[in-house]
Formats: sequence, structure tokens, C-alpha cells
Amino acid sequence: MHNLVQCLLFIGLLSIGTGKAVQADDLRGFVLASSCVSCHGDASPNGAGIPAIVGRDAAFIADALKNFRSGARVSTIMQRLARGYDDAEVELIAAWLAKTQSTIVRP
Amino acid sequence: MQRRNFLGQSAGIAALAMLTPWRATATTSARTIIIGGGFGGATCARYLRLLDPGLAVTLIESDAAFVTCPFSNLVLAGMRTVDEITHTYARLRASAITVIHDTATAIDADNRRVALASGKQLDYDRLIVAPGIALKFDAVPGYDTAAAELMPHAWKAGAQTLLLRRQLEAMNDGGVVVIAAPANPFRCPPGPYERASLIAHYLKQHKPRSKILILDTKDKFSKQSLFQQGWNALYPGMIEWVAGSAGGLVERVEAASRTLVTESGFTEHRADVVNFIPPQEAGQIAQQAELTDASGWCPVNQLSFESLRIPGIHVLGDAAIAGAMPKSGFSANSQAKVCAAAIVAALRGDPIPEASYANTCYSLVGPDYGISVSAVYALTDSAIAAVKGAGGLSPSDADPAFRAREAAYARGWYSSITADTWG
Repeated sequence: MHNLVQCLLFIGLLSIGTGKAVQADDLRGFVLASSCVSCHGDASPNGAGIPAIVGRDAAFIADALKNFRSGARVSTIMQRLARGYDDAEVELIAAWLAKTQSTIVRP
Repeated sequence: MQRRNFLGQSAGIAALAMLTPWRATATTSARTIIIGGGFGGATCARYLRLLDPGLAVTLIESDAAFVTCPFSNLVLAGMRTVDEITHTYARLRASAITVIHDTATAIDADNRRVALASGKQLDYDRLIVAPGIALKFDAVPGYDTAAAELMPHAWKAGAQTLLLRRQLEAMNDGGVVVIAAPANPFRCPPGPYERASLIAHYLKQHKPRSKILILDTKDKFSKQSLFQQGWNALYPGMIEWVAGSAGGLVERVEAASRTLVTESGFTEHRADVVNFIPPQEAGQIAQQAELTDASGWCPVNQLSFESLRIPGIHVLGDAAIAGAMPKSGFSANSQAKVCAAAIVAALRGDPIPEASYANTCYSLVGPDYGISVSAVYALTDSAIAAVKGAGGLSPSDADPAFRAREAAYARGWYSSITADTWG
């Protein structure tokens, strides 16, 4: 599955924050991963101990989610949330977050 | 998991088939208008623009800035200022979203046109209505708009929050604060109980002989055992909760004397400060446009959030009926992303992506004592349902370090979601 993730990255599917429209194949990844951003924020750590995940390596994200889900990694809330996603969904989330950039536009 | 995916896809196909035809002109340069700049509306505007920069996105919002209900309980406790929970639309404007400060007064669905209080008319290809809640001032006798100046609801943040704060500051030590909580469904199910907690935090420091009485319409409430455990730990003897069937149901109020009448007039509660949270329904423009059903809320397609009553109009957030999802800022933010993806896909003639939604509600019992409830949602058959085995409450046996981490995460959540919503 990591090979698939790397393959998707290699062919350079576009994400948000690039000024380009997101294509149909990517919308499911967006829908899944956009829930993460509500707490984890856009790109930089928000100062309260919730780590930044946007732009992180896909394998890192996927492994973290799977370890939260199994309980191997201790957490307050992530193990409750990670149990809501199957392996295929975890890979889509990881792939989307890995290729996403900051979307905040400062005036 | 396989079965859920299958159901999700089949529901997606069914929903696509149900989507009303797009206008022939509805290309990626389609005109989208969003009414309401809260968690649902502002998020939808931002993500429509991000998912397809060709879209023309216009946001209509009455107020120059948005004061969030989340964290308004911290303002009541003196832990944050109103400025710190106020968000402007400057970054949405910088993202090439047209923000118009005006009030939508009518929707002409046949001609796809919105009328504004200024007299201006705007044409749309797709309309998103995210008006939040309206308070039902007629529901409990005695509680009208004039009564709200004496017994603030503070369930729309801003002037009402500050009014309740001033009343708490003016109250003498030993006073009684009554919080009256409504029946389900209402905005922010754990909100009244976080409010009791943080008012208790303020009173414990400044007026420690005071009491808080919660008169509830309901017989149980969100995160009940966690809240009650926290109250016993932090504010022993200070907060009393009365269930609806045990005399908590308020039948009438007398605002001038700050009196609440229960149990067919047999009991009168005279308080020093009253926070009366009335029953609610979908925001005014949704009522006026007849997007609501007999419940007072808006039935919508659970994948696209398109109204089941008027084609071409989507309804998001507190105003919408969204299966198992609570009426929360997080829910509205989550629904807005699903809706934006559905609109972008449908405008291009692509299949609507299978939906996934989430909600996490943090509550502060004290500044360093946080609790949470969370869920991941998927579309099953025709309703949004929590994914089994996921989500749930903070553990009941957590240690103080765990509660402190959740309190820190509550602050982090606020910082992240407000940036995700308003930029």
C-alpha cells in the first residue's frame, strides 16, 4: 500500500493550496483527511501540543493511524478516532495529507 | 468495513441520481452563494474556492465579524476576552471570496436569486444556506426578547455573552445562578454543562458561597457522568442538576423578578442570575424560504446537503437535520467540506465522493480539566450514522495528567478549527 502511496505522489496528483482545481479521484481523500485538519490545523503546530500533520510523510501518517487504532500507541483521543477508518481509508488520508500545503491566505 | 464501503458507494450513487439537474451554465465558473458566515458557511466558502479556484464564491453575512459560541463560556469565566473569540472575514477576502455584509431577506428558488436587505439582488447557480439557529422566544411563557435582556440566553455569542458576564460580576457572594437547559435537539449539547462548570470556576475564586442550579428539560445530558465526576472533584456541593422529570422543566418565567416556575406552579425558583436557554429552530432565512419541515429544522440529502424541499439549495450546520451528528461547530465545519466536495463534483458531472464526517466536542470542566466526546460518521442507507467501534467518551478513570492534556487539546482545537473556518 505504501508503494501505491508513493506512486500517487510520484505522478504528482494535485492537492489544495496549489491554485489548481482538485480532480475527481482526489475528492475522496480530501473528504476523509479534511476531518483531521479541524483539530490538527493547517500546517504549523498550534502551540497546544496537537502536532502538525499537513505535509508529513505518508508512511509516517499511515503508521501513526494504524498504531493508534491498534492501541499500540497511547493517546487521549486518537485511538477513538482512528478506529473509524479501515486500511484503505488510512492510506487515502495519508496520501492526501502528504501532498497538501498550507491553505491560509494572509491579507 | 467492506460492507460499509459498499453501502457508502451505493448510497452515493443513489444520492447522485437524486441530485437535481445542474444548469447548463453550471461549469467550474458557476456562481455559488453562501448565506451565513459561521462555522458551516465560512468553511464551505473557503473549501469551494480551494477545491476549484474557478468558482465564483460569494458569502453573505450580516455582521462584520463572527463571535464564536465555542469558548464563549471561557469569556463568562473571565478566561478569555470577546476579542479573542471574534473572527473577521479578512482572510476569506484575501482568498478571493466576495464577502458582502448584508442580510438575505428572501430566496427566489425558481429564478435562483437572493434578495438582500439593501435592495440588491444576486443570481446563483448553487445556493448554500447556513443560518445557524433562531431562538424560539414564544415557546416558554414569559421568555420574550425583552426578558432576554434580564435573563440572558447567551446562546448566540457577543452582546448576550457580555451581559451574562456583567451579571455574574455584579452578583453578591452567596448568590444563586440558575441555568435553564432546553430539550433536544439544540445547539451544542454539552454547552450548558460546560457553562455551569466554568461559571463555578469563576464563583469558586471570587464568590465561593454561591450556588449553581441547573433546571433541565431533559432527564440526561451529554457527557453526564464525566461532568458530574468533574463537578465533584473541582466544585463539591456547588452545582445541583435537576432532571426534567424531577422538577427541572421550566413552565413559565417572570423576568422582572428573575423567577422560574416549575411543577405546575408548585415551585418557584427565585435567582440572582438567570441564564435561560430557550428551545431553538433553524435560522430565520431557512424558515422564511420554507426550507424547514414541521420540526423547525431542514431536511437534506445526507451526502450533498441539498435541500429535500427546494432543489438547488444546500443547507448546512445547526439548521440541517444530519442524522446522528450533533449541532456543533465541528459538525458544521465537517458537513461544509463534504458539501463543497459534492458541489464541485456535481458541477463537473463527476460522481459525488463517498462521504466521511467527524465530530469532536471538547468541554472544559476547569482550566486544566478537559473531557471529550467524538465520533466518525459514514453514510449508511439514507442516514448519517456513527461508525461502530469508533469514537466515544474520555475514559472515566483517567488521571489528572490525562484531563490536563485534553484541556490543552481543547485550546488547540479552537485555534485550529477557527483557522480552518475563517482562514
